[in-house]
Amino acid sequence: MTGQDSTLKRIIKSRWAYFFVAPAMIHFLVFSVYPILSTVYLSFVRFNLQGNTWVGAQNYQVALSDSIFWKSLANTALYTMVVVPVGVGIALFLSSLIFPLKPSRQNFFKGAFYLPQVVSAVVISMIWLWMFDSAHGLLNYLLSTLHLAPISWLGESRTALPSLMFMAVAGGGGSAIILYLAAMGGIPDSLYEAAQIDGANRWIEFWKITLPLLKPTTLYLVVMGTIGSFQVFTSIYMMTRGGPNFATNTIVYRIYQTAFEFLKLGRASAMALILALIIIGISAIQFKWLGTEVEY
Amino acid sequence: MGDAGKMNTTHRRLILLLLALLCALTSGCRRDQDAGKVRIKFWTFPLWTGITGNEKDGTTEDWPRLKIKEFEKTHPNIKIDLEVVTWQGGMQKLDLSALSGTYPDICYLATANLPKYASQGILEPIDADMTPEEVADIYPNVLDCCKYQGKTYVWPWLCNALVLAINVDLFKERHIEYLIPKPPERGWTYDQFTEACKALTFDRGDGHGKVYGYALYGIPLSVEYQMLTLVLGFGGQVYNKEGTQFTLNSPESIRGFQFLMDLLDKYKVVPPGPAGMQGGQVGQMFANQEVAIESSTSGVLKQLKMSAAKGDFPYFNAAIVQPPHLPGYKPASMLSVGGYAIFKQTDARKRRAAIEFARFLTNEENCRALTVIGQFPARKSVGNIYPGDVDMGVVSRLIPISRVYFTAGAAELNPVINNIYQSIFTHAMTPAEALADAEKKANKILAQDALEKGLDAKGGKQ
Repeated sequence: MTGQDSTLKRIIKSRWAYFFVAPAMIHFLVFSVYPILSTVYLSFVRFNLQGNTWVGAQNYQVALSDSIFWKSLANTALYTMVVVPVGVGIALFLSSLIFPLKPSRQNFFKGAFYLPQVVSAVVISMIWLWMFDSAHGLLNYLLSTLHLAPISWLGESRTALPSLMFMAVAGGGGSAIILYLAAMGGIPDSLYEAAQIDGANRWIEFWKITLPLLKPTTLYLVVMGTIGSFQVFTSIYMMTRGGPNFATNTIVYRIYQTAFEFLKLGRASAMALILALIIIGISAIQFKWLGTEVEY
Repeated sequence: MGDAGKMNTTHRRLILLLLALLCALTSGCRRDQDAGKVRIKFWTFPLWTGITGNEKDGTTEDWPRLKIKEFEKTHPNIKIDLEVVTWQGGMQKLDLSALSGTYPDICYLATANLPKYASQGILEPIDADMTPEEVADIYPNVLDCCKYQGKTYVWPWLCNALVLAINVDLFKERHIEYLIPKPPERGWTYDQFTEACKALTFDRGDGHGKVYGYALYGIPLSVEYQMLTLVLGFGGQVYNKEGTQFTLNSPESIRGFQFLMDLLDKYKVVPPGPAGMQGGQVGQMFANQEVAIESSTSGVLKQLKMSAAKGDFPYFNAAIVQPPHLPGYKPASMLSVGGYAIFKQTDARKRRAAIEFARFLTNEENCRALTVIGQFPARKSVGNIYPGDVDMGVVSRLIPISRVYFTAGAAELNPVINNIYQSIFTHAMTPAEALADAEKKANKILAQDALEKGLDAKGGKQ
């Protein structure tokens, strides 16, 4: 009784704190917790607007026996394995080139590389669609100037997914560069000065000081990049619709198709939860490998 | 505060009081005016602008609003709330409204989307509402498009058959006018079609690229059935009559898909890399006169004229012809049908009102209005609404013999059917292999569909 009273008193005492936290909490409960719980429920029913039927694990069984789902999963994994390391690597390389520049030049490059991030993904997809066009596209025009045969970039199974990966890498490094530059700015100069006294060259400095101290930023970029890549959708929807021959069908596109084109919300929920488990698993591994404490 | 200030405050209060009174009165009037009326929510798509399609400042709401006005005049106890949804987002909006249970009472629906909603049990079957005369007046194949599992869910208004549009000017430029199919049917054989495609594939050498006879594409917006007319002319069927089995894997269909591959590989009369091309790109290439023959509907002529008038591209003479056929056989064409679907109702009065409105929207006068968009009435009694028009005559002759394409589980089968094109266009599979693969996948989906329907039938609803 006394304990309850003291809890109540504490709540009353901190009422304004609760009052100010309430909107965020309500938003979190309504727009995050409730949909997640609904997804879990839906994954165990056959969805029908006239009433749902409990089917146990059938949606998981159907999803896992769907060859297109597996193909989508494999495509997504390949996309992530290429786009994330290559994207982070390029961002790190470019940041290393930009960082030694004067602040005004740094700002120019920061702005230039960040610019694609503020453009709508739909617009970017439309621009790349034109660049990849086999008849009138910019890429094939460049090939023709070298007397090379045109390539059906999005029309061949072997080139479609790599084309989308190239597009993601080419336009997606802006925010990574900003973060890397900010992190590089936080590394104390004294560490480099000490290394120089010990006779370290630029490469050793980068390898032994910069790279290890950028580990938290790299972890963040890898985890966020992996989550983002596993959720790739806009470019697929706008440019290939998963084709040709399911070569660019990704898991989120398959979930979208299942939920909103086929109205199989139960199965789509099961797929979404499988995806969530995969992302949680991969993130856990990434935290284990890259998540060491860094002290300057 | 001085006298002037007091006067201002009094005036302000008086004005506010009057405004509040006015609001109360008007809202009260509205309530009184609509009290006791049956209110129905009507959604439609932007079918055309203005009343006749020729008004300069016309909007997509003009025609539906006029119809609502006419209907409300003869049905004073019914009030209709209109919403014109966009083509781009309208279907998503309908999906979301269906999922959230806030769907309209009556909505324009292309029957291609019928299985999706009917399978969810949110549409009203209307068989009992149609009189035998009304049923007999609708083309049987058009009515079949409006059915799902034997029940009619869409009150048909318009229909169209898939045809080919040809660039007549390019035929003249290549001196092959003799290959333009002759009216009134404008039919031609596969050999004549191929001969024309070969002659129409050329390079002017002016640096503007090549012109191709025809175009294939592998990225459709929904299911690709326009190219299917070329395939099915060899005699194949997509499903069995009951819609329970995928039957496209047949020697006839293999021959049909091989014909598409011959256009690509043997005759080289289509742009390369079709698997990466979208349906819309082909339409644009036809408008740019980079492709001479396009699978389309009759509406394409009107669209070309309107776009050319706006200055989008130079005008050229185009004509409608039948899809090619085997000698001695009829061509294969697919029906596209649109009409009005009534969503699930709990109030009998609202249901009756929605039915009456659907009946009104599909009456003879409103069927005649379809000339604005180059569509055809679903009702036989309306007769020829394009007298003397050879192009439209080609389509109207095809409508009674065109096929019903869609069936149960259609939406989920779309990617499977589209993948046949993509597999063969990328040379990943031969037509026979692609059809065998599609058969396996499609029948698995149909079996799962049957299983789920069995579950529903058993009840066990929560």
